[in-house]
Amino acid sequence: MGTNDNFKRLAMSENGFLFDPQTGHSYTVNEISMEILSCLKRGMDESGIIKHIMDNYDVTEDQIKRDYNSFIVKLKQYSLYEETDKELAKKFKK
Amino acid sequence: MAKKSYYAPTIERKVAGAPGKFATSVPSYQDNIDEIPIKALIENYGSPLFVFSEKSIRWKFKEAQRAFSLHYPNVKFGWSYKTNYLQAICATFHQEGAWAEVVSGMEYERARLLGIPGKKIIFNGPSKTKNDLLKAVSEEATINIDHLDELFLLEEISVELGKKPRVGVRVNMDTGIYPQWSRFGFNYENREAYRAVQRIVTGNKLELIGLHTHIGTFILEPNAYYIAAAKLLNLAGYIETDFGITLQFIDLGGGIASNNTLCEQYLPGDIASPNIEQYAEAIGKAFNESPFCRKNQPTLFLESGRALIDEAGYLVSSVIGKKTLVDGQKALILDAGVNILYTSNWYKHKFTPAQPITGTIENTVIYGPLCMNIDVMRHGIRFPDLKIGDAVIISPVGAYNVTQWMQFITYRPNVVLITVNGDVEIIREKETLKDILHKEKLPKHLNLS
Repeated sequence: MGTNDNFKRLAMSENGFLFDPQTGHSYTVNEISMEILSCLKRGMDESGIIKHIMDNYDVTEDQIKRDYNSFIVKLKQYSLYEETDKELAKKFKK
Repeated sequence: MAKKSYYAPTIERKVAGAPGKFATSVPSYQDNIDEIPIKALIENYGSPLFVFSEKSIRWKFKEAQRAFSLHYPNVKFGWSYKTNYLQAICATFHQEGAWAEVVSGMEYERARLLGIPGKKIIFNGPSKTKNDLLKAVSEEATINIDHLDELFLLEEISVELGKKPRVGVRVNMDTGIYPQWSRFGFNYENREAYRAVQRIVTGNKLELIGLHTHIGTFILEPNAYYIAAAKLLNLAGYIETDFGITLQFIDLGGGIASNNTLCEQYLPGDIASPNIEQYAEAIGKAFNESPFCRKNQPTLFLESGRALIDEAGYLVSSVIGKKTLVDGQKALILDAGVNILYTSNWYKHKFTPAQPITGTIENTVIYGPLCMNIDVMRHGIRFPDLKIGDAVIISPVGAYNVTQWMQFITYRPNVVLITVNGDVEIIREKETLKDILHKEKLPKHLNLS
């Protein structure tokens, strides 16, 4: 099924500018988005990313979970992210 | 180590050919109204909350008075009750010297209750009942006649009371704007208005003292007022020559635009709307060019409502929820809906966060709290990420909302006035269930208790 590595090809600047060399699209992101994208690039899963953000930022688990899911919806919208079969299976099991 | 402050993650695709500097504004925040913190207003009076600034009302009225009297000194304002008839608002305008301009029996009663004498009431509108007119005629209000049946009714009342009603004739006309309002009054171009005057003169039961027009609403072209004024003054000249009647007033109604932005308008209202001086100049030019005016100096009446009150009103609302829509757009749910912000049907109001902005600016849809799909306050506005409980100021909302609002599924909120001294006064209390049920009756056989 899907692959989740579309975002891996993004060129990311330190101050929140992203460029997709394949489509030519460019994006702006904020600091938290940069953190999440870096984690995704490193292959971290949802729970690991949420823990990482909670360790570094003043945010509740509920809040970051909600925001993380919204962010993933947006990445999907821009065709930058698709859940792998493994991830979908994991979700389905839950 | 202290944790860093958090704000929601966002990502936004850059689009080539995005609108220029006028089409998007850089969002900023405003944490007070007339130096009263929004936080304190919400804590003390709840959210949502309508807030009016007495300072702004008085300043705007003085500005309009100054602008018009600079061109034509014999000018008087009639406060348009239908624009906002909260007693405190009307009283402020009356204190500044405005007469009352009413369009129904209920508004007439409101003006009288505030202590405005009939002689300082202009009675307009297409629906004046016999009882309304009996009262208005006996109290010597100025009645602008909308149609022939009203004219005949006034003649009847004149006989009944043995008193000549003081009347004006409402005239509609082509002033070069679209749509041309033709449903109110008598037409100028086809001489219907002249024939109405002729009928009044031959009937000899009414005292014709003026001419009235109201060319439309949210008129963005001041020159339309020049044309309207010139046409009415021309007709006044004919009336003097043909019937020997010298009219005392020319009433140009309202319709002057505020700084709001119409839904279909590209430029924001604070750039697109002419300022009050431009309207004053156009009208003043017509008056100063008119031979009738030079000879008789009739009173120029203006019934501008929106332009005088819109910017003095704010709606403070709070975020109760956030979501991402299926198309990836951000959405905010506020606790104020379209039922209390009726003008969101035709304006793109300004939404300003009431606290410092963090995070990225994104396209956002702003919804109200109603369980109705139509409850959209703004489509696709550039807006920062807000947290639950954050406040938003919606403006300008001073015109038409607190008269046209609807009670629906919940209670209409408090309305407060920030006085010139900086005090906050409730001018309309939040409704309760008791208020809502007050007029309902439950038939005995349906009583469940």
